[in-house]
Amino acid sequence: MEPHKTGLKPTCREVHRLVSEGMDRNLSFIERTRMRLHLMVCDACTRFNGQMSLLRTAMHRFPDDSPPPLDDDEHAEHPHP
Amino acid sequence: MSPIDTLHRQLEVMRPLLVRFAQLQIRNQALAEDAVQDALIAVLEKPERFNGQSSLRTYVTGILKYKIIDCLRASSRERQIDTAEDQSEDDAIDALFKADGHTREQPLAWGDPDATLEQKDFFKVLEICLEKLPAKTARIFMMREWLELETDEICKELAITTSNAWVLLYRARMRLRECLDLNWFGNRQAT
Repeated sequence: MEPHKTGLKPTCREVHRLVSEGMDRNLSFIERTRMRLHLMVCDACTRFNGQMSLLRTAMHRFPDDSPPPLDDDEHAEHPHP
Repeated sequence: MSPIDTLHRQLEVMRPLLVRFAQLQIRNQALAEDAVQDALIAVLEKPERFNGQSSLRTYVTGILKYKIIDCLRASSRERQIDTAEDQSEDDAIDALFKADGHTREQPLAWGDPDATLEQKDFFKVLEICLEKLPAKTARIFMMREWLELETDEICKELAITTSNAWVLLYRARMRLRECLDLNWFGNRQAT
């Protein structure tokens, strides 16, 4: 096993990966606990977690649902043959 | 102009955008255009189904997603992706961490998500970042996050293992984060 996964305390490297995998599978109880304890004390991983959740929200809204350009443009004419 | 003509016109205006989104997923212009065509026809055949509660674009995009899933399922051979370990991708992620596993640089604070997502240009930058992803990484990421397929289903469709899928999705997210940092959040912080 790689050294960074064996320590008692998880590293940022492990927690970054767990944050991502947690979006795609159910983490084990141990993984979840390690991740949560780390997030309580680590600003870097907490920010990363926030970035990932913004990315997911953005993708669910993608493309943005602003009104199509013609809705408020009565005068525009786009003749099609 | 009758309502159906207006709808027709609105859909035509939207078409190039929809083809771009479909191409992010399908990566084949002809197939992407077919999927969009199918979606537009579906809307025009049953215009009464669009009740105006969401925007037309959201409505059409919802239908397009189903058409894209159909298309992906129909062409399973083309979708098999090469999951050979790409060392440079792993190196790029390794470079973000020190030997002791800590991040080299503090990730940027991206601020209030709602405020970010209200800005129209954000989605343009996101689209550019998605286009920059390697094709296979983009495809799996779009399946997971845009089409909202479960990982198991993605693995079945692409004939890859779940751990391959997790690695590819992690890489996609790391790349997108970097691209958004550079092209959106970083610039804004500097001003």
